[in-house]
Amino acid sequence: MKRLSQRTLQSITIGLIILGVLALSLSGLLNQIVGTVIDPMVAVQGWFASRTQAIVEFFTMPRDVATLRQENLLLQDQVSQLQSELLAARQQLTETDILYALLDYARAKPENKYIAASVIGRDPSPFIKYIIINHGSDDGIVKGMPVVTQQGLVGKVVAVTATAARVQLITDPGSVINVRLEQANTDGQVLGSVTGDISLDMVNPGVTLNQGDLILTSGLGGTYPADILIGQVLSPESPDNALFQKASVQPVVDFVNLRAVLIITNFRPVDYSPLVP
Amino acid sequence: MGTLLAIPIIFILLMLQTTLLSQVTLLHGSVDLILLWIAAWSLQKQVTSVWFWTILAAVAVAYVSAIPWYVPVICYPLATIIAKWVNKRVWQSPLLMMFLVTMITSIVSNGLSYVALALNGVSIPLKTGLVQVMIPSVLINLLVALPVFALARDTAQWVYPLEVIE
Repeated sequence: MKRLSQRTLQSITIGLIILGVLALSLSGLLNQIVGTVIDPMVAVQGWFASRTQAIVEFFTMPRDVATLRQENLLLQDQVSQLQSELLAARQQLTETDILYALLDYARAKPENKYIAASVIGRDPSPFIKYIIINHGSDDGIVKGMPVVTQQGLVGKVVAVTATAARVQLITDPGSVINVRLEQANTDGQVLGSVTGDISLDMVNPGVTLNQGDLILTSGLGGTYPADILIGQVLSPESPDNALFQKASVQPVVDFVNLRAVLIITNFRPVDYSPLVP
Repeated sequence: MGTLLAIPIIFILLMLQTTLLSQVTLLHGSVDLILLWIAAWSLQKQVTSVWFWTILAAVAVAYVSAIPWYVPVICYPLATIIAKWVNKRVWQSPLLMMFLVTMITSIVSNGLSYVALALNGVSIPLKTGLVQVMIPSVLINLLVALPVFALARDTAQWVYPLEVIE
């Protein structure tokens, strides 16, 4: 009886303690007590954890660095590869743009037949302005064929091998082209120069030249087909008592960045030299 | 080997000249890499196949360029003759020799190009030709002469190693 009452007393005490703790917990008073006890423990735990992590890192880091370096090298390789692919894609895109522009030009003038060619070199001499293209007699190209871009006249083929051809640019100092001025309705000649600039000459002094007048091939002489755009009048000069008017010309073709051209294959230049007495 | 090596090297130089270097200009003058190489190669005392290199270069440039064919055919052998002549007289100063040969041959080459074009009916105003093309070409050739000479000297030492006298 005495034992039972002691057990009962213990049970009651434990129950009361539990109820007390529950009451304290529900009332929020327990948090302060628990906090007071646990906070130092958490701090100590944190301190231990950080030190343990440092020790673990100390032992595992070299292996990670080696792995990271390998991964870094792999990624660098991938980046270089992707960069080169990007460059190639951009190059192809530029070439495609050029070819589309040339195709548009060819479609706009269906009366002509064209062969597209890439510029693969320039003449080594600084005195003359010639380019070398990657199509020759194997592709039906013959001497004298006019060469154009979507912008306008480039020049003419002057020498041909089986797989390449040399083109004299209209900027070459030996180039002379018979031209027609659209607005002024008169003829003249466009001459090249050693500096790569082109100029208009042999224009009737009675005609008024204006800045921006369009210059097109006239077709006279049979060297070039008519009505191919060459450029615009830049600055007319008409000195007193001069036999002819002159003007500097802004060409429509960018000869510095010339990369692809069209050769007009159905045009045959007229060789009138046997008619010259 | 020295003779056979002329074919790839002249071919590479010609490609470089027509693609890259013809677009690197000072005013309107450009470097003549093949002329510089011939001059530098002729200045190497151990080289025995200079004339083959010279003739090959002259023929290659005459074929590729639209300049009258006799310009490179005269200029390149002339560069070799001048280089060999100078080599015998200017003792132990190869760089000075290179600059001297470059200057003389560049002036001759540009002058002859001008005259040849004039003979072919291409009139270039003398002042414009001189200021815009000839003088800049000579200057840019002088600038490039030094690295070309170093390259030619290393190639010559590789192809024709000097014998050590004990």
